[in-house]
Amino acid sequence: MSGAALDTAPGMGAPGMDGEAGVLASASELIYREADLIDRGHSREWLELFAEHCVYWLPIDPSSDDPTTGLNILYDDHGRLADRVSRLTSGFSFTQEPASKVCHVISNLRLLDAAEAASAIGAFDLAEGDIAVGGHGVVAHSRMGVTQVLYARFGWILTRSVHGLRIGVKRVDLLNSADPLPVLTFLL
Amino acid sequence: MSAPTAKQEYSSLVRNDGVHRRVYRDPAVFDAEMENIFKNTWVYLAHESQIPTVGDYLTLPVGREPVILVRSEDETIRALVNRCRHRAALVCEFANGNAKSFRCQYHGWTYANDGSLVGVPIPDRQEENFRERLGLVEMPRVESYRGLIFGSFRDDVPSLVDHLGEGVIFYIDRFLDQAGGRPLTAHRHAHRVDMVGNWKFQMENGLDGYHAGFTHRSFFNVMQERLKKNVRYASSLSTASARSYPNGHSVIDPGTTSTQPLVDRLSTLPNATGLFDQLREEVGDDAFDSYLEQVAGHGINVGVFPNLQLIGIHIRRIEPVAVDRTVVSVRPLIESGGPEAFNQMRLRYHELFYGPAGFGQPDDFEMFERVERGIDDSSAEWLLFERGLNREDVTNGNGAELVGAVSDETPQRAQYASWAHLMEIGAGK
Repeated sequence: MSGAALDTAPGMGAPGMDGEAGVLASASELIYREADLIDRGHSREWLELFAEHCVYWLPIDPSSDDPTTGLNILYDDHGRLADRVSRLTSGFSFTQEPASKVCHVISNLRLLDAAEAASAIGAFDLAEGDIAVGGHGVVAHSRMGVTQVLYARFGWILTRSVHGLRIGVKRVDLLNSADPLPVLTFLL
Repeated sequence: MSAPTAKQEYSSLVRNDGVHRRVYRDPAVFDAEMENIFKNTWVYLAHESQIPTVGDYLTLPVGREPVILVRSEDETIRALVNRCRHRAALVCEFANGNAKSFRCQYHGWTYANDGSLVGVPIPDRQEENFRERLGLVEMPRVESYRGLIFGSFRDDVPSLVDHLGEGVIFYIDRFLDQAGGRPLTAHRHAHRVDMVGNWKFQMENGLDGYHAGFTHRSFFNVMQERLKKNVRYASSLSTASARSYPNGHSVIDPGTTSTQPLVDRLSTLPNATGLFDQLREEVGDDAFDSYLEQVAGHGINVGVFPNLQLIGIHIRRIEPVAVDRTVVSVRPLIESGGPEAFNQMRLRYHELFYGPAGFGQPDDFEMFERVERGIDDSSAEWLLFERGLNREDVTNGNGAELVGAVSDETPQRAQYASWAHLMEIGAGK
């Protein structure tokens, strides 16, 4: 993130930290909380971390910078994301009855400047104070005696709201996004 | 489980009212299917729009054979076996691309994109015609019907049009004309799911008008919650029918069922308001409603035995991988050069239900896995396909062999009759 955007984010840093380190610390805190909510199966609380105008996106094509133009593994706005969580918790989403046990290991987090964000996350407008973060992750999920491991690059655009920092965009590029995939109905 | 070897053993695994579990579980049956079915009749390969220009190719398995489907230099579409004639290495490693030739990187044998052997480093052979003799093996029959490319490893099969038959072609045409007759092309990407289960679970399920209200209950609940109105479609409605045709093909025809519940779902798409506005702007007020209806298609399901299904707005190809492993590809159709909002709505509509993270299709795969887990433990060895057996008839069939109620297992009985027939022919070869 370039300095200009960071300078407009007073008070977002963790105590005792200034500038980029503080911004990365607050971003990381949200990102780890998000992963933890998924892993503990708290999907409704997870949904609350998303901004009103949000995008949750798993592209097929890693070079895509716009979810609207091509076919995606998953592309949710807030409405569809809420539908996703509602279906997941309905008791009739049979791929999750019983639910997968999920474990996110998120790493390599770093702040992205506007150009990096456009390249890694896509053609999304960055508002003043938005924080773009890139990272890598390993997601293991286990169900009915079978454990599978997924590898992915992650990208987030975190945005400020009256409730604090929220997820504006979450992008997950699975390493094998263009290959035949297992069912992915748990949250990534 | 011992392998059935005589043809009587294969046919003994299928009855008109049921299928023996070995049909799904016995590796020897799977091996026989790859020969007797996938190398013995027309198999769906791809849509012509996936290889639009000369040199375009894609690779795919046909049964156990790795195949390169290519538009050769002379514009002929050929299905070449992706295997060097020298030592059997693949000559093409990519999922798709454009190439004038394919080279085996082991010893450098090079094949033109019509399959002919055009380069052999350090040739040592005296015979004049070895290059002609050692071109890539080619599927002897490749034919298309309105862009749908099929191939056959057996050369004495009837023409593709005869194999499909008039009755099925009527529905294929309806499916392909779903955008008011404007031409549709296959999207460059498909959802592909690597599923646990025998390929025939998907073959049966794509024409199963009985399961939706149960398996897909969560989908209907979510739509109901969002739309605050009835969202059920087709199942149990009296004019919808399940129909079987010669050669194992089948259709679910919604009859006079309104497609309004499908159109209603469009208001739940991401950025629906923006897309509706954009579509209205692109096509004008007068055409808006008809375009909106065309986004969701006619709601018909066509099953072309053994591996093609045309469902809603997508082309589904079933790839058997192993007796308990299958790749299912669902590829939406769009109107190339058509209104941008129309195409985007079709993609969003497809993503709503289909793919690894869709709200519908994963529940089908879950049921196949549950069958896989239950099938061996069952004390009953037969899976039942008797539903509607006593009420299906040939009234107003229009080429159909039998017409049942939408929830009847008429399509599956036809599929397995064809399965048994081909398995017997193959075994008797």
